[in-house]
Amino acid sequence: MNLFWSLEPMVILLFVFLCCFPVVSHAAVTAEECLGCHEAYKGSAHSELTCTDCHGEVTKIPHAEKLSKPSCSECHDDRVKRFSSSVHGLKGIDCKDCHDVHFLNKGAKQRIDATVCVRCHKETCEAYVNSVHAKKGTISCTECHNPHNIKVYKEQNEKERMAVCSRCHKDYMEKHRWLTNTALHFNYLECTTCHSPRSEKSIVFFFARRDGQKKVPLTFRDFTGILGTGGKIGMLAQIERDRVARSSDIEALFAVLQKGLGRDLLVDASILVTKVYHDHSVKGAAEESCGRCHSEEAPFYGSMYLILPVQQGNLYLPVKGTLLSSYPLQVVLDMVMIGQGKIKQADIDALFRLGAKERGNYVRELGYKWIDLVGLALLLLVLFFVSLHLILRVLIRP
Amino acid sequence: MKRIFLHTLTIRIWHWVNGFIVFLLAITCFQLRIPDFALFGAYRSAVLIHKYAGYAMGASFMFWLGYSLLSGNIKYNYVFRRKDLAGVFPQALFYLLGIFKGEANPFVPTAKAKFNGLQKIAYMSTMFIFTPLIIVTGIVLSDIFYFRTLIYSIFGGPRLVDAFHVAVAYIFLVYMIIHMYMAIFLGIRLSHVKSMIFGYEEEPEVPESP
Repeated sequence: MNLFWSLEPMVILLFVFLCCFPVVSHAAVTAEECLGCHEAYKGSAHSELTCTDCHGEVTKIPHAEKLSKPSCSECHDDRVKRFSSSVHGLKGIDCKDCHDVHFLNKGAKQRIDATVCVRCHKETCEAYVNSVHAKKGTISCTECHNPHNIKVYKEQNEKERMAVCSRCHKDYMEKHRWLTNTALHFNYLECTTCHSPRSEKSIVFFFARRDGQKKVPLTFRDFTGILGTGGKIGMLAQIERDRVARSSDIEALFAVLQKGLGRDLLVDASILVTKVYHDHSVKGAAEESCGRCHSEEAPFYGSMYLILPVQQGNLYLPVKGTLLSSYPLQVVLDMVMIGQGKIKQADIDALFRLGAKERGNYVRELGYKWIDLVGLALLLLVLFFVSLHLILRVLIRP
Repeated sequence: MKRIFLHTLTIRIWHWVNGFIVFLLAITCFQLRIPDFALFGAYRSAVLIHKYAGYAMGASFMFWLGYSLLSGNIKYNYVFRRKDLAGVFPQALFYLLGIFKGEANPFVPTAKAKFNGLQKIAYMSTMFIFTPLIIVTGIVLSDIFYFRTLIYSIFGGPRLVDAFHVAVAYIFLVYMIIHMYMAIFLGIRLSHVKSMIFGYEEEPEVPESP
């Protein structure tokens, strides 16, 4: 008889023990036992799991007063990964801050509703409840925004912002056919620009490069590739510290970047909503006037930013000084949004009211408005002459 | 009174269609330039009408050009000749003074020479300079991205294209006022308007010199 057979009973006993160990271990604290104390948790969305599937450290009852945080990613790996790079994740918000994991089936909170969002986004929710969307029944924030991969508004490009609206408003291009240069407008604007007048709009400038007919904004990688500094854009350190971009800074940066990109480099501009007001109820004629944006009085001229890409996201630097005046004529002419001013009653009044010297200055400042001024004067003159001719013909009958 | 055949049916139809298009463009342009002047209610209606009326004007001009080249309309009525120059001053003097004295119009139209020197200057500049310019700038402005290269290489930027378009629009408005005044009030009992409807213009008999 060899040694194995002499130890046979002990081997069998050991085998049985090893097979039974996990069962014995988990079976040590069953769900029923947990619910004995935590009765309220009965029937949660996670009820197909036992309590110890998440709280594995509970091996006996009573357990430690403070349990460690369960790891949601063991089951919800993809979602947790996406969430961790979202603004919510980056700000340290935890799954349980929004999801009441023990009551998922009980309080109708399978999806997050506004009562959850309002805890942090009070101002936004207050604006939203009076909007046309809320009144038409779109109550939940998550119907438009996915809280698991949401970005800060400023970090989204126009396309991403448009995507939120176009999920429902698929025919937005058709609805805006009346707008001249429809596609071009949508390259530079977003729905919020017009449909939420209380949102703060700004002109944003950014460095871009020409790629055929396209203008591609420079990324952080492009910057570091040209400027040749590691993780930090050394050249911009001062600008970043000051949090202000002066015309001279932009010109200096432009000169350095041009060495890398040559004639393909340009400073492009766009109208961007920099602070969104969540009431998009305005539609129709109230906003439909070219002069609202294509004039010096456009609201966004009071708010200008230079966007610089940084390692994570973008840096919005308020632009000081008369930035546009520092650019060559060709660049300024490219900015169609500046457009032509249209003559107003106040301009005509001013010309009659002002003294000779001031009038000269005023006319110079009118820019392209003088076309309207001369045109209207010419029309009035011709009307006067024609009327005079007619009256004389009636009076002087040969 | 004698009746002179002046305008073919094609030209008459074209004239009124084109006139209607120009009228639409003129009243919408006021709302586009002065948004408070809301003749069409919604701004979008004015933009749309202006845009499509502009395309229609382009088509109308091409039709006129084709027809006029083939029919000889340009050759007979638009080409400015030496003798037309001689008639410009007397014609202007007639409108400014002679008409009040009851003098006869120094120019008598015929089927093969419809326009006097002043008319030729007005119509030639309108049809060969201002109309093409306003149509081209209008089309270019309708899609500035598509016509980007053209805008920069020829006009020098979108703002300048806009400036040309608006400046020519004012010239058109001036032209319209003068044209309508002369057509309605300077003929004999609306003879100019009637000729553009029926084709024939009534002219007073001029006694032949012995």
